[in-house]
Amino acid sequence: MLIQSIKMAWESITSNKMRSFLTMLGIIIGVFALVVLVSIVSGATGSITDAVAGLGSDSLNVTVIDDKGAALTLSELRSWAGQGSIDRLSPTSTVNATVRCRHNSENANIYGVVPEYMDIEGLELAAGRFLKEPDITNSTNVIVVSEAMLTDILSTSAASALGSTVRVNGVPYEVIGVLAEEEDSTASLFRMTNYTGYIPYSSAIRLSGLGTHSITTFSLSAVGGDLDTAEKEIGEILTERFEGDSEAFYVMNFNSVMGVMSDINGTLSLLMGGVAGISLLVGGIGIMNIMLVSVTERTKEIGIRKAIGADRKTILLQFLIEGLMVSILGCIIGLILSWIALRFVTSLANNITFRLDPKVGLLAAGFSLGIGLIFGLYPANKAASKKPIDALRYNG
Amino acid sequence: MIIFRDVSRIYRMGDTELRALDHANMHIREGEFVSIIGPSGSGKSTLMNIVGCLDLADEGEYYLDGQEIRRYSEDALARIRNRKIGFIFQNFNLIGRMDAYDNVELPLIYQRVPFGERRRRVEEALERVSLTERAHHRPNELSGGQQQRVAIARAIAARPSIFLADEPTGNLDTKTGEEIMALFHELHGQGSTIVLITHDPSVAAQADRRINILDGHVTEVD
Repeated sequence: MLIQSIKMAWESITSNKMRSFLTMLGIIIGVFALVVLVSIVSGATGSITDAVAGLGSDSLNVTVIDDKGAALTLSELRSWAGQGSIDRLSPTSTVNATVRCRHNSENANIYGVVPEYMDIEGLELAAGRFLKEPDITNSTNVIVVSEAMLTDILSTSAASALGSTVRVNGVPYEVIGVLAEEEDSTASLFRMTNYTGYIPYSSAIRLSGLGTHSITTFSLSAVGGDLDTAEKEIGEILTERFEGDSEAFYVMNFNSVMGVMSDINGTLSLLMGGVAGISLLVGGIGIMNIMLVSVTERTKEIGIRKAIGADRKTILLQFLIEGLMVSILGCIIGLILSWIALRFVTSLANNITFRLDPKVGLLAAGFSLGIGLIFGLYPANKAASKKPIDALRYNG
Repeated sequence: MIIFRDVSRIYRMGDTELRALDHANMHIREGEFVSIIGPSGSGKSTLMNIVGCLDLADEGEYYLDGQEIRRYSEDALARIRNRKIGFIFQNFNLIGRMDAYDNVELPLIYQRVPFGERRRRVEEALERVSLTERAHHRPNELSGGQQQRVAIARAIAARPSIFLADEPTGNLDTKTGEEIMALFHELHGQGSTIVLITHDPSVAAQADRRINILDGHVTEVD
């Protein structure tokens, strides 16, 4: 019986192809909009989230706004290491400097850090060594350079760069290490410049010429990567340190940034999904509209079927299956089209892959099925309730 | 087979009451070929609708195969029509989108006859009306006589208790009409019960027995 109903529905759809296609169009466009919009949103925010994650989600960055007249010192900073979830700490004093080597001269971010910084940020070396404790105590003029600085300013290989001299704001620094190239190239998109160098914290104070020893920015890592606990603990320590003023400093937690990112992703997907959902709904109303016309047109057929013994359920099933079939076919076409469109968009956007999320596909399929069912039900019921004598007498 | 006892069908329009059937009594036995004759407006169609379980009597009793047809549910009436009544209409009433084979198969699908047997019965029915070669033509590709033969095959395949024909030759030319009548005689010869409704005395005369209807009153003539 079900097979027969499906066969009849198929015959009815194929007997008027143009109309069936136009009916499906609403569903096709709805599914297409839903899948493509949601996939693009999640693809784009996904890649931004990855980039943010690449920037360093393993550390907390603290900015001190007001030290209450008492300078925050390196030894004080180091005394917090090992308290609770706080693992290692390092000042990150930024100096915007001009780095020169022979005829090449570029602006670079020079960070004054301590040896712990390598572990905190998980840096990897291509050659040489990172800063060591004596470099800090002696304020030696040594520098660890990024891969970009090596190729563009030193323009030499990693191995031969070691021991050579670069001038940072005119002051000669000896290159002791070269960092490995960052794997995630999208992360570097969010940095002002790729030219990065690390010098001893004590040396950076001298370079900045400010003569102050107060630490205004520092990074720290958490035991077992538990940044949220570490954030709370460093907050407590700093609040106490700054006379109970919790506004005197700011802690940047990439974890919470990531949380916000995924919230944005969710909200955007929901918004786009909602817009696309409305177009699916309109598609469903289109189905109902055409099916109502079809029921009226086929009044005589319904009458004949009832006269020769079709009961209510049979007629209901037949029209319901017809509505469902239209929406399923529309959904399949819509999914195929969106797959093609996403491939196309991916080929246009370098670096970002827009995938057809099976979950989104299923959602679209379920939604259009539901719409086919809901909007098919009323016309089907109308057909099934026709009285056979009236229907037989109908001349349309 | 068919027993009418004081059957009335009353239409009410405002205050006026129209008795399309007025205390009709009749008795049609199994294997009979009966014609019901009357001019238009006499209540023929009402009679046919009640006999065919498309409509229900307002008063009186109607027995079909010993079963009283009462205010059953729509679905129960559909089942009775499906199994007991073989309709043959004046305007054929075939489904235009479906070919002859599918049209004949339809009542068997509703009877839930399994595929193999269904196919056998459809082919057999088409054979009996000599339309085997036209099985996959749609109604609009067939002549009027052929369409009516498809309708008869549809009735035959369902193996009903009675064949109920409403002006089956009304839309056909004389020669084709005779061919259709010959088919009814053949069916009758094989033991089928046939009720033929017509306004044409020459068609009515071909039956074993005539029942006259005029202004809702039924008189049996032997």
